[in-house]
Amino acid sequence: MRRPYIDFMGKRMWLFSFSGVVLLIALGSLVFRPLNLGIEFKGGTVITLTNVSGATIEQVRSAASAAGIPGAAVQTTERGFIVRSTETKTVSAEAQAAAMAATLKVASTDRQVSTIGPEWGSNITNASLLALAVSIIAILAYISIRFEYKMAVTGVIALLHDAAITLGLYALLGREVTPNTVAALLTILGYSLYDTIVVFHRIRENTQNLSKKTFMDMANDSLNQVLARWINTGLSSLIPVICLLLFGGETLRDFAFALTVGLLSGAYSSVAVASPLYAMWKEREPRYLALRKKFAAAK
Amino acid sequence: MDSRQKNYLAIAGLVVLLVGALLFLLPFKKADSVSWQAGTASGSSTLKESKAVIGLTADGIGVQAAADSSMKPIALLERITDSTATVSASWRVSATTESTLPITVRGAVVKSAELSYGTTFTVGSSSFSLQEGGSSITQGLDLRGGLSVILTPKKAADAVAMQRALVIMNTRVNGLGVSEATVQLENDNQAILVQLPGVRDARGALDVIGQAGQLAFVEVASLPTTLQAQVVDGFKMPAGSYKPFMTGDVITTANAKASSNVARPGYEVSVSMNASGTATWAEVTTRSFPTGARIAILLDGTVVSAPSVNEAITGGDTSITGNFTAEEARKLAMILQSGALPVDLQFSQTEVVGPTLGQDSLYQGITAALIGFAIVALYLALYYRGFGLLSWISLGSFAVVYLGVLSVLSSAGQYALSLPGIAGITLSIGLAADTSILIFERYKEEIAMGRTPRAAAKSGTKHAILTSLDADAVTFASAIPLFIFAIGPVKGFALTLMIGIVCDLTIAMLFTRPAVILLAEKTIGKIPGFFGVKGSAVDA
Repeated sequence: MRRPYIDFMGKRMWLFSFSGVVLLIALGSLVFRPLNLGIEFKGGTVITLTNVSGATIEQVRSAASAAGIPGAAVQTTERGFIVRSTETKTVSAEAQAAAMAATLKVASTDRQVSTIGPEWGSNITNASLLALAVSIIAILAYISIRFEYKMAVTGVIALLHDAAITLGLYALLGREVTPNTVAALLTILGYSLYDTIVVFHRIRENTQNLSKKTFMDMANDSLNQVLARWINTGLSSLIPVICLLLFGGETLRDFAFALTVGLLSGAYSSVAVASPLYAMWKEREPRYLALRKKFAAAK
Repeated sequence: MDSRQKNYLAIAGLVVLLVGALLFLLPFKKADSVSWQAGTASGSSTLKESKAVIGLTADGIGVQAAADSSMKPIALLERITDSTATVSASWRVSATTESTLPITVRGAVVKSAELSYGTTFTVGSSSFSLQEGGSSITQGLDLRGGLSVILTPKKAADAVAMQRALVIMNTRVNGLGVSEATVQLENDNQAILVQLPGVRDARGALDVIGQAGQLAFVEVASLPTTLQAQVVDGFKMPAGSYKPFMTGDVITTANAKASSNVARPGYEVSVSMNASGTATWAEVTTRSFPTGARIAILLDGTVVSAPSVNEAITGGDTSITGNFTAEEARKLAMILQSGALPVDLQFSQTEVVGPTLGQDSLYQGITAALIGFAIVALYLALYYRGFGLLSWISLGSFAVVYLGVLSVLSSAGQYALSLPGIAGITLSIGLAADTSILIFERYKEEIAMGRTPRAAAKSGTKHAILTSLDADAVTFASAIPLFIFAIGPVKGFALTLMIGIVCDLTIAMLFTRPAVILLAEKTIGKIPGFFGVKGSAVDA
C-alpha cells in the first residue's frame, strides 16, 4: 500500500491533549497579556513614513516630539517608520505629521496618517462582534441544514479553537490587533471549516450502510481517505498566504499573519478536533453503540 | 462522444473569451492630458465614447459626467490659477451609448465640441486632447492615495438630519474639486464616509469638511464703532458682539464666475436667495446702499467677506465683486452655498495616504499574490502532472473571469480594489486551487476503486464539486456578515472573497469537470501514468 494509514481516532486523546495545552497557553496569554489593540479600537493616530532617507529611530523620535506628538511610539519598518500616538484630533494629527515629514524631509506623497476618534473604536468593535456572531449562526445553520446539527456543533467547536489559538498567539507575541486582523479572523471561521467539510462529506458518504465496522473506525478510514487532499488543499491555500506574509508589505502582513496561523490551526483542528469529537458523539447513538458492542465482543 | 460536456466547455471558453475581451477592450479608464489657456467658451458637446465633458471653469479644468442630463458634477481635475498649464488626471466614466450633454461650466463660456478618444480639439482658445491609459480595475483610496474621513454625529441623529448633512457635505466636497470624490452614508445612517482620492492639500480639505458652517449676515453699521473698523476678511468676531439679520439657509445657489463687468475684470460670486431671503435682502440693501454701508458675511463668527452695498437688490440675485482671484471667488461661493449643518459632526476616522505609498503597497501585494500563484501552479504540475497542466488552464480561466468581473463591477462604480481586497484575491487563488485538487483526488480515488476512467470521470467530478460547493458555501456564509456589518475597507475584502468563490465554482462546473470527462474518453486511458492513475483498470 502506497498510502500510510494513520490511527487518528486511536490517538485522539493525545490530539485533544495537545489542543488542550495549546488552548491553555493561548487563553493564559489572553488573560495575562491583554491584546495589543490598534488605534482603530481605542482612538489615536498612526503616521506611516516611507522613503525616509537615512534617518535613525532617534531622529524620528526627536522629530515626533518636536512636532508636539504626545506619547509617540516609533517602530521601524523595512522602508521607513510608523509612529503611533494618542492624538485623536484629526486636524492636529495631520499638522503633526506634516511637521514631522518636513523635519525628516519626507515627501507628502510618502506619508500616511490615520486618525481615529475616541468613540469610534467601540463602533468598530461592536460591528466586528456582530459580524462574528452572525457568521457563527450562519455557519451553524448551513451545516445543520446540509448535514446535521452534530456536525455543525463540532465544526464550530473546532472553529472557536482556531480563533482562540490565533488570538492567543497575537496576545503572546504582543502583535497589534487591527480591523484587518478581525477580518482575517472572521474569514478563518469560514475557511477553517473547509477541511472539516471535506472530511464530513466523506464520513457522511461512508455512514451509508455502515455495518462492518464501528463508527469510530469508519471515521478514521474516512480521514485517511481524504488525507492527500487534506495536505494538498492545505498547502495550496497556505502558499499564497505565506507569500503575502513574506512579500506583501506592512499592511497586508496584518492579514497574512492571522490567515497563516488560522489556516494551520484550521487544517489541524479539522482532523484532530472536529472529526474525533463528532465520531465520539455519534458513537453514543444507539445504532452505533450496538455496532461498537458487537465488535468489542468479537475482539 | 459526450456532446453535453462539449457544450459546457464551449460555454466556458466563450465566457472566458468574452470576459477577457472585456478586460482589454473596454475603455473604462482614461488618463487625459488637457492643456488650456485662459479663455472662454460655451455650448454643448457630443461625446462618442464617454459621457465625460471637459470644460473650463472659472478656476481650472473641470470634468463633469452624468448618465443623464442632470449633469451632477463629478470632478474638477485640478485647480489651476496660472493662465496656461497642463495637467494629467484620470477618472472613470461609463462608456455605453453616444449622447449629447450640455456642458455646464461654472463661470466659463463653452463652445460646442465633438470628442472622441485620441483626438485633440480646440474650444475657443483652449485645446483638449483625450488619451487612453490606465487599468480597468478601480483602485481604492488606500492604493491611489488620498483622504478618507468618517464623520459621525456627536449625538445620535435621525436619518433625515443625516441625509441633509450628507447633501451639504456633498456640496462642500464638490467645491474642493477632487475627481471621483465620494460622500456616502454608512453604519445605519450614523456615519458619513467622505473619500477624496488623490487630494493634495489634505489639511485644507479637512478644514473645509470640518467647518460647522454657521453662516451669518450682519450689518456692519449695527456694530459698535470700535468693532466696525476691525471688520476685515479673516477677523474673528468676539462672541455675542453681533446680531445677524439673516442666516445662510436662505441662500439657494452661489457660483464663482468670471466678471461680466469690463471695468472690473477678475472674478465675482453670484448668489441667489429664496423668497424670505430676497425680502430681507431687499430691505437691508435698500437701507444700506445710499451710504455704501458694508454687510459682513460671517462663517462660524469669522469674517469671510464684507462687501459694500452698491445698489438696492430687490430681485434676490446678487453679485459680490471685489478683486477676487478665481480661487478666492470659488471658496467664497462654496462657503455661501454650503450652509449650516443640521447635526454636529465630528471626525471619527481619518486616513491620509500618500499616493506613492499606496502604489508601493499595491506593487508589493500584487507581487506576493503572483509569487503565490506561481508556486501553487508549479506544485500542482509536479504533483498531478497531466491534471496539473489542466489545473493551469482552470486557474488561468479563473483569473480571467475573476478580474473581468471585478473590472465590470469597477466600471459600474460598485467595486474598488483596496489592500484588504488583495488579501481576498490571494485567498481566492488558494480556494480555486483547492477545488481543482478535490476534483483530481476524487477522480484518482474512484479509479483506484476499480472504476473505468470514463465512469470515474462522471461520478468523481460530480462528488468533488458537491464537496467543494459545501466547503465554499461555508466560507461564503462567513463572508456575508463581514460584508454587511463591518465598517471600512474590510467590506472590500469580504466582497472580493465572495466574488472569488462564485467565479471558482463557475469555472469548476463549466470548465474543469467537462474537461476531465472529455479527457477521460480518450487521452487518460492512453497515458494513465501521466495522469497519475497508472495500474488501474483501463477502458477496453
